[in-house]
Amino acid sequence: MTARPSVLVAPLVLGIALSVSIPACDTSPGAGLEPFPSSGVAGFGKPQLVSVCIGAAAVTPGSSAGLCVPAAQSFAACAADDDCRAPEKCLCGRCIVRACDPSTVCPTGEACRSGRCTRSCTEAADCAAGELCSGGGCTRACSGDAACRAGEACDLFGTCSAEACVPGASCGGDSTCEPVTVSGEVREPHVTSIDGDRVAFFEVRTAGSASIYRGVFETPSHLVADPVEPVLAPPSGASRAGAPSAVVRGSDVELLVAIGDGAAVGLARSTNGGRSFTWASESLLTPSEPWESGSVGSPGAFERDGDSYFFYEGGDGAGIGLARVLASTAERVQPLPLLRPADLEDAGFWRSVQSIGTPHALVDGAIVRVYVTARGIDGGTAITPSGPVPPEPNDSIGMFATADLATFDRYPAGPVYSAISGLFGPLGEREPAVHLTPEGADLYFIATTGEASLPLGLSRASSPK
Amino acid sequence: MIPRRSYRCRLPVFFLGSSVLLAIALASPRASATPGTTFGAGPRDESLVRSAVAEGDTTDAATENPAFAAAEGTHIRVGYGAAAPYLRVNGIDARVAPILGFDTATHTGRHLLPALWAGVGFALHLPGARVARISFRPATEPQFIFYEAEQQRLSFDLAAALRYGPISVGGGASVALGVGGPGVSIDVAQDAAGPRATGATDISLGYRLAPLAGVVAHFGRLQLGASFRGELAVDLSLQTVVKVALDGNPINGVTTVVVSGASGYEPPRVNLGARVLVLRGLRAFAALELSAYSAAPAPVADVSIDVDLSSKPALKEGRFVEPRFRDTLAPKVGVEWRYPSLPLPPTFFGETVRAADPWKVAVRAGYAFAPSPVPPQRGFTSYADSSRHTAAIGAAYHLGDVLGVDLSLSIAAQLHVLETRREQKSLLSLPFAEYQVNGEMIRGSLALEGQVK
Repeated sequence: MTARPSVLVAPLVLGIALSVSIPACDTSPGAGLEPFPSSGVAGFGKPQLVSVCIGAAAVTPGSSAGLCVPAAQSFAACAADDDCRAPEKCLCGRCIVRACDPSTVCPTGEACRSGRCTRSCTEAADCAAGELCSGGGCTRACSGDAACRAGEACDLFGTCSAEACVPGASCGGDSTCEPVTVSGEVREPHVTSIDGDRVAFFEVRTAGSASIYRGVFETPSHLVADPVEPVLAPPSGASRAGAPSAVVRGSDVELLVAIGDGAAVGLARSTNGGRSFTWASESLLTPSEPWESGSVGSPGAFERDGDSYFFYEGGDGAGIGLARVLASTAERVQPLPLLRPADLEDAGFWRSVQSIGTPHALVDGAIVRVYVTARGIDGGTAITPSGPVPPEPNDSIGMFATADLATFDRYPAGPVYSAISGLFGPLGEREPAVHLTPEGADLYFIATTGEASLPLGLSRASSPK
Repeated sequence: MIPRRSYRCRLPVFFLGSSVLLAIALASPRASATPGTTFGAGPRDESLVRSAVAEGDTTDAATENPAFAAAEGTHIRVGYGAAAPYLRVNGIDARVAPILGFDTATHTGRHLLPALWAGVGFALHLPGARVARISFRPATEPQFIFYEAEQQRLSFDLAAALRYGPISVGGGASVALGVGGPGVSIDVAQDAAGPRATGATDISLGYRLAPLAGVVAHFGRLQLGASFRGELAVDLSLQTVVKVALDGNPINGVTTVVVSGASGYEPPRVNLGARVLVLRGLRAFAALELSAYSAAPAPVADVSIDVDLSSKPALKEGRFVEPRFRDTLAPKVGVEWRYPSLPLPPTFFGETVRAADPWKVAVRAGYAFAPSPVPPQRGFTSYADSSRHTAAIGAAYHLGDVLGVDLSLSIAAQLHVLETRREQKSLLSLPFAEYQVNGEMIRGSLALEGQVK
């Protein structure tokens, strides 16, 4: 028998022919290599700010602001800026120009002109069709308000401009002051599921008081108060009801709440999915142990074997305690703190931990995870031309896990979440809340400026990224 | 070269962070299996669950035992196989991609002298979706390391063999693709619209070779075989270079992240087997395969980050933990019945050269057990694997002469069952501190084999 060499190369020819239609290399996740849903321990990605709206106004630190809006003007509904016509932005579900003053930092490529952020320009060619360049900003020529965008009016010079106002004040003519921001700080969120919706309870701090709102996520990064009024106000004699933490049983919600500035942990109940609450106890737990130094707060509630428990911060960052809810009172599981700052110390990952607090409890099967805010040093020394720059302490998020509520394993690689904005600029992350979904885990927290710990707003980081 | 793309960039450090994250993500394990070692080479090999190391088709030479190539004739096999995995972690479908691909092989051999034969063989596996799939996954994330990206790569094997009297000896090479090249480069600069970045990726796929060797002893009713496949480490060496040049930026400069290590690893395997002619037309096969997974290197050996900016964190290096895989010993058995067939040789050891069976129909079945090489997971890694049972059936029909080619058609089906396995880590605070793995896979294959007359 004689071999036929042409037969030998036939498979090779076939392979080459088949490979013509096959991409050479693939590094994308693609079907079959999707990330597995995270257990919520770590691996959270880049932080994204979450916009929080009460009615049509965004909650922001500083003073409440509004825009004078002609009576005939209407607002288009939107989900993102792309749904709006420049210079409108999507704010709290409606298109409206972004009000500004000379101190406002507008987005890259925009400038604050005529009371709102608009595209920067040096000549008309820099602007969109139908716009002109006026004073370094693009605007529209007009003969009446109808030619202008939402939030603008046609001014005396025949161009569209915006006029800021204080909500409640008069704008004159047929215009009214439309609120666009409401002053307040969103703090200590708790995210849960109620009747299939992702719901957040959060504290809004204003000058001298704090109340609790309920919000629904319209998108993962957009939270809208529902209802627009607080669902729980401070009890009489107290200025603050804050740091909500919920145990949900169907439409019944138990809300553990910090009252005053460390005065007590209270309990409120709702039978309508958290849309309104009544106080069950205004002093469920009050400080009594020496380590608590007269302060208890920031409860992190969870359910275990039908009972409600809560971790709490004692002594302004001194430690984390655990208590069990008994009708209208609570008993400490043990008098001493279960977790102290020293429990997070790690020579390699987290050093000089000064405080621990704002516990958030997450039950995952038989394991209870406790996410905490801790202040310490988790960076390394930077070498600069002018010499070494030591790292600065900042707030980061740590985590413990327990199965018996008595012994706790610390996450062994430092913070479970700690972001930086630059080689010298660690961000701070505090007041964590983790929400598990079939797709993974979302970490909600308050981003801060790092060492100064000034709140930047509610943020979200997801795992898998 | 992949065409350049432009990205928006807000902060140069984003790229530094991304590079570090990429480097960490590369810490996923890459000790691997291929469709050939997981399922078999062609329907006959698959229906006998790779137990036929002592007597295989000549077209199996390059993948199963190079010594098979020392047979007379010219053969070609063209086939297609598909596996549908349904593998689960904590009862959740891990959505492992189907394993599809063409398998083609060829062989030719000559009878040179009265007792001397020589032949060569070649086999190619062409995956259905991509020539090479590279996965970047954190090792903390549960992943079926033996059934994911590793099953989606092109591979080919070469073999040559000699037979003198009752002994056939063969050798060859298995070829796989490595990943290398300049990697990723990103330039960050500024224009009137603000910071902008331009990125480019240049990755090359290089070849890596592993030796193959095999021997078959031909006796009467007994035939013995052994094969060896050397380890095949598919290297990975990539670097990411970020150049930052922004007006007034205090951290302008160059950052380089170099990642090197093994992105794929096929362990050395020794397969010992026997074939016995039990009854007229009935063959029984048994094999024992040792896979030395303990030699698997760390998935990514080194990560170095050199930041040459105005500010300079100290040079950082990462070294990932050894996977500590265990060697495995996998027993395999199979039976094949051919009809019609030649009478049985009179003794087990007497006759060494037999004519081929004039078969028309063949039916086959097999069973194999493959222990998992993955040790109990106690730390950060969350490898998902468990011991696997494989049951297979198959059949072939001899079509006869078609346009001068003696054709036969073979089919095979396999059911793979991964045992339920629970992992409990040493710390409850670790990712996936407790998880359970199990699953099934169904595999089917079809091939047309011809002998050129």
